[in-house]
Amino acid sequence: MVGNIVGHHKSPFRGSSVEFAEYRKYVAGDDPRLLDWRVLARTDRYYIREFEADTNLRCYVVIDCSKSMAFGEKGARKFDYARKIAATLSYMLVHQGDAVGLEIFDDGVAMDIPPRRNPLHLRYIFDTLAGAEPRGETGLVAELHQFAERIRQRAMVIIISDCFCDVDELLNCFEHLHFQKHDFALFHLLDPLELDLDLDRPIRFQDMESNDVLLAEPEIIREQYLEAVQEYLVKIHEGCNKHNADYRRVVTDQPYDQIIADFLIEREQLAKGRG
Amino acid sequence: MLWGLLLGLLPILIHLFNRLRHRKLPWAAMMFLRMANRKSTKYAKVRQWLVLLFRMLAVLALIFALSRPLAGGWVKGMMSGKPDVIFILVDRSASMGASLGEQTRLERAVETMVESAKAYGDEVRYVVLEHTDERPREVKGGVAALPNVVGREVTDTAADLPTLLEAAADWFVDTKPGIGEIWVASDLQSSNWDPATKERWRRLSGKIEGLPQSVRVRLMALDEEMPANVSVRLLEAARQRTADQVELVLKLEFTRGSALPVELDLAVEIEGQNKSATVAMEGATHEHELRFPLQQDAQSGWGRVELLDQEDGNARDNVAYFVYGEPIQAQTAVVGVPDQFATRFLNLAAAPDPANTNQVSTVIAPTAVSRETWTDYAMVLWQAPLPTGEEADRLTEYAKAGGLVVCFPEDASDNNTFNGLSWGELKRFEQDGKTFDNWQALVAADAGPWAHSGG
Repeated sequence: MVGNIVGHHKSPFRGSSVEFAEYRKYVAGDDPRLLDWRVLARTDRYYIREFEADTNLRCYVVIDCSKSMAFGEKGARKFDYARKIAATLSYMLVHQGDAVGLEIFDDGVAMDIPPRRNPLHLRYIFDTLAGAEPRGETGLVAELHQFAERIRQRAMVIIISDCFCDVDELLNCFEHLHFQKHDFALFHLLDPLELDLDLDRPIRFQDMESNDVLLAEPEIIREQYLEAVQEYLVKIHEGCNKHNADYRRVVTDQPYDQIIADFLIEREQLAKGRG
Repeated sequence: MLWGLLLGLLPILIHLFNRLRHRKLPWAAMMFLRMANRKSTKYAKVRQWLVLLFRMLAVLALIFALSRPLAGGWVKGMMSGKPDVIFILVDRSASMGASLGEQTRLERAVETMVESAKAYGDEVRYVVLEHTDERPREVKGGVAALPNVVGREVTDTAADLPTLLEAAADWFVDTKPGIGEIWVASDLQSSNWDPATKERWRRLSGKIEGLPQSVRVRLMALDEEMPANVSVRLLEAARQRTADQVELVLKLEFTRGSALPVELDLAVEIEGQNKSATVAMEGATHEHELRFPLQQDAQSGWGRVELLDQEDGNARDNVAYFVYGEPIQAQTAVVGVPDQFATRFLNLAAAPDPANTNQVSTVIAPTAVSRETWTDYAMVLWQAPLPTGEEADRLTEYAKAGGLVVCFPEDASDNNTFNGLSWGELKRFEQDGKTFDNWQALVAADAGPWAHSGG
């Protein structure tokens, strides 16, 4: 992880630390102070000792705040679920000395809070999350592209969204983030009703973003609906894998603490695997 | 009731209402709904239309069943179960001989009825009553024998459909069969159906409805209009004497399907002598009077009127037959004191027009009745004490032979009895505070039941 101060996360750069990493042959230009003089004395060869350099994490939590996030069966809105995940992760990151920023997108940038790591900043994030309400159409794709360009340092980006937009365009965003060498994870929020369309009588469906109305009989179109959902989920999952993104499908009837715990454990195991 | 078929539109209204009534649900994942809807639109539409169609058919079927259509309902008749008896009434009047292409109305009626009867088979009893029959005839041999039982030749007589229906109802009362149907084949000529006798039809309808078993009446109406047809009907044939000669007066009625003016040529035969006439006909129905001189000694005779050059659908109604003779004189005897008011009043009522020699009245004094032969009179008006003894017997005999005797009370009390009948106690009639001693006073005062009865 790239950072300015010493932290809990392994830096991609070698530097001074207590953690030995490896020996490497000296090449012209290396700092002579890093030579292992003992090895030189014993073997008459020039080696340099390298150590793991620990650094802090710069994390951006990106929340989709479009009107579709306000959907939720029996009042359990996707956006509320997203707030819980964002707040919990922010709290944990700040308390372990990492910097956390918050990006809230609706049809534009609703809020842009740059990463900080002090507790007062955390309060600011909490207040911002509490005051945010879903509105407008989703501008996730355009804003993610701009976001990828805007942040210069490599960072961790946690995207929390229902991703109801064009899948190909969304995957282009992921490619863009990947190209900028950001480490990113996607919390894909879905309501159980959106996944199974468990409705019986004919219903006038009203688009929450555009207010268009569509009269449909769920019993008749369920099969085609489930096919379309399945195709879309597979495509997003494969796109995330392709761009080294951590994909998390989150159904809002699952406990959010379990989701976060699973996410952290898997990240830990992944970090160990890399180490 | 069949207007109720409009209720078939009810499912459409319900369908439209339902579209408004459907629950509205805010939905986020519209992209999947749109995709799914596009894929299943055809199937959904076909399903919707089918559901709508079946709903409409269900409503229409219900209304049709409730409306119980009768006239023209041969198809329904076949669907409504088999009756035990089918009573067939056949109108073989002259008008049923009208041509419908290669068949007459009667032939078509018989053919259609036989075809319809085949659907019921031989499990049903068939009874035929033609208007020329004296009593209903049960068909032996089932449907196969039916064409041989029903005559296919029309007659020159008119059918009396109310009487035929009454006879059919009586037959159901007498024989007490199970469920029955009465089939009537007719061309609905008003002369055969006599629609003016509403009271009779009301009674007939009540009689059929009141039958203990269920009896349906099915009418096979063969009343197709035939614009080319012209018919002639005799209204009256009378021999009239004028100052210097004797005439035959024929009142004729002409009917045709078109109202355009036309000239009709007639051939008139009187006692074997041929004469001709031309009638300018205007309108669909036209009455015309023809006069032909007769010989002075020709007291009675016969003849026929025929329409010439009428190659229409029905040749039988182109001819009308008639007979004529001396007019019958209606003579009334008024028995009473000649100069009394009541006697004069009755005499005037019996023959109001002195110029009419066919309606005359004679005043006979009560003392002279023994000399009279009552059979010379059509009616006897008795304004005297009720007859007794021999006179009473003679009058009773006269009444039994068809004579008409009308008795009026006298001013004084009358204790006589005539055929078990006698006058009761005399009462004074009171009206508006005035008392009248007798009915003559009432007439004179233009009051009571005789108010406004005369000039």
